[in-house]
Amino acid sequence: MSASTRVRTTTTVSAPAPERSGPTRIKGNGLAFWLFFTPFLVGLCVFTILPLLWGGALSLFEARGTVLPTKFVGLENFRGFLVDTAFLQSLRTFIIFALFIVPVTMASSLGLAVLINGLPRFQAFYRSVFFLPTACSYVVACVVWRLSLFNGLESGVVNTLLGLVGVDSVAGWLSSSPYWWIVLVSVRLWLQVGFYMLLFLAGLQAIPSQMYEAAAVDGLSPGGFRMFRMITLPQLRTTSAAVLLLQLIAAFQAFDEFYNLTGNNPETRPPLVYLYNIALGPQQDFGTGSAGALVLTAIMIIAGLLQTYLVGFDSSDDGPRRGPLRFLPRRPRRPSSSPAREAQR
Amino acid sequence: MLGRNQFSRRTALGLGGMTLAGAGLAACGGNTGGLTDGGGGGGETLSQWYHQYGEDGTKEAATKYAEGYEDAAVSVNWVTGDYASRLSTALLSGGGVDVFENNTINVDKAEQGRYVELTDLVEPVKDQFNKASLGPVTIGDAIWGIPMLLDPQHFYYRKSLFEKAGIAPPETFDDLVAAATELTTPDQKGLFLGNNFDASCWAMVWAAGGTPMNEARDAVAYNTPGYAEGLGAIQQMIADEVLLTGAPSDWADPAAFGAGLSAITWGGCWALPVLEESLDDIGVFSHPAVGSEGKQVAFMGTWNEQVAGNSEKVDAAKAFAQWLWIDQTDSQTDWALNYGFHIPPLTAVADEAAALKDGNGLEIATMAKEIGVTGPPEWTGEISTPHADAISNVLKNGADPAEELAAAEEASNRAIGS
Repeated sequence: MSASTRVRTTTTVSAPAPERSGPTRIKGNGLAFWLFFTPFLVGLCVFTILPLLWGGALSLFEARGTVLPTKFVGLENFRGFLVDTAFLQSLRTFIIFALFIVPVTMASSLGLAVLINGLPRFQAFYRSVFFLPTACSYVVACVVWRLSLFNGLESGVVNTLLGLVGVDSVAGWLSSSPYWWIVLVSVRLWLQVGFYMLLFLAGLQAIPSQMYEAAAVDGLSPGGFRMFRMITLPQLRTTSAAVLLLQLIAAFQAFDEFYNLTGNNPETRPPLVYLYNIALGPQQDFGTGSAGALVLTAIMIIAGLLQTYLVGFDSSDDGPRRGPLRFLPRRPRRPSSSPAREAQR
Repeated sequence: MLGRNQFSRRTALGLGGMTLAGAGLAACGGNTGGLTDGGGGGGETLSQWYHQYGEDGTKEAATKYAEGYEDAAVSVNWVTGDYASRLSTALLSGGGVDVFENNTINVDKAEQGRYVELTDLVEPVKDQFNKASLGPVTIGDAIWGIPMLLDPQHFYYRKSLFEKAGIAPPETFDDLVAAATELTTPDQKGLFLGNNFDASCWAMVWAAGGTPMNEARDAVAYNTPGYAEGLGAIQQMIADEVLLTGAPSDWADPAAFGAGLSAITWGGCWALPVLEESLDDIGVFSHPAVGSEGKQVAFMGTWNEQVAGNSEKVDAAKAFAQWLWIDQTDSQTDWALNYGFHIPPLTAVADEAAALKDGNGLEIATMAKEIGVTGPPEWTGEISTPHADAISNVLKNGADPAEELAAAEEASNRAIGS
């Protein structure tokens, strides 16, 4: 019972207590707050904010082998990227990689989530099995992929399997196109599909069963593709948008598998590997590297905003549908549970 | 034991504060991961850095040399992991390094004073060093390091297979292509040039009659007709499936060749002890001449001793570096040949070493002495990227060698001009 409605057991009714607005303040914890908060604040400043500002400053200087440069070059480092064919090639590599990995991961993780969600038992077991690879280090997975699964020898695991079905073995899994894409996409798929599967699974389990029952009453066959298209997909719209954005960012940040599997091959050198070589390789060109990092950050922000605009996280069904998911039917409205409607019942 | 009432919020905060303070103090006391006291004599205390060598006994040997120095106490820091990055950080921040080894001397760092110039130490004994060994440590007229080790790269081959096929060790690249093609069988490829086919391409720059950069260091000089011809020949071998690829380990590790996956391989001198232990018919030959202007060469990697520019004990560090790598020679032979196989850069030391007096050891030492080549320190990442990308496009994507080299030359020269 709130203070404003409390009634004393006397002859007088107390005046309603003034309502407090804003967050509740707990007295006497100021010192505790700062004691726990300060280390994190210092860490944030030292390891995130200061390097960001310093990187921004370095991008305007010629800074080879030093983080205390003296030669101001203005936007020259940025201008260099516009004519740097290797950088443009790295962006093209990212686009190719994203075109492979994003749809495949989306389809695989959603498919697995739907299959596991439909299991009558052992759900937890299968969920764990598919999620376990997420705990594996990218570097370790790359070593296994390179030395065992996709080595070019006849005795390699994949070549052995190909031999069993009568297909010639491939010698240059990592030295010839398009084979290297199979290796790069498969290792990332194995590592991350379980995580996105969990997100979709959470989304699936949030869909009320009454919707499926209502759809079945309307004539949709349970478990059929129309049920999936008309009910499941629209209900997963927000989850799908989040997964799509997370995957795009993850693809943009791809480094480990490219660095460990294909090294410095210009055809498979995404932006982060290219910038790593510039800033932290033998070149140690921190000025150009910082400029490149800012350019990449800007591209990622623009891509994220564009994706949010086109697909959106909003769950409202008002307004026109846009973007790749515009084909989805509108989300069925949930019945309102206002008191007026309750009274009418 | 604290009761429930005693374990108040204040107690918890106190313990938390102590934990944080302890963590802070612990962070202050972290070590660098490989510091061992060398003991040594009196006077200054110097910090000497090495990268982690793979050969057993090298760390103990480095410590032994430090202990043998009488004019200063020297502590050896055996740096594991990414040596180049940690060294760069230390040179930038003054992170407790006085004397260190380095395999890539950087022009910018030299200009910024990260290294101490050692011309006064090396110039008087310049003639005693392998001529090519001074290339990577010389910028203009200044010398920035003392060569410690030379690692020639060359071809290894199976003598028994060559004899059986009636083939002589190749002297031209055409001979090499013919030999590799001849020795290719369903169970064994003829030649291993690394999983990306490009392991020998750097040496081929010289073998085709060019050099990475011209004498004036104001333009690249790798784009030669012979180089394009050589790259075309590798393309042809890829198409003919003469080259091994997809091996579990790359060319620097002799495992693939040792397992009989190829009849010839590109490799480094460091692999000789392992190969001679596992196979009894190993032979070596230098990179053959490529094209009409070509010549036989052996590219050499190097490690060099340097002194840190921000050291507070520059004179003591220089004196120690001079003693270890110029004045006394016992340690140099020990370091180069008792734990692995490398060539000492002082020619007199190399000439006296028992392991270099016959067999493959003599062959490799002769290559280093007579046809050894080394890259210039002016060859920076900016300049090398177009070249490396061109090689990759030629060998992996089948691009035209002449066109790719011309475009790379233009991009590299643009980088030099920037």
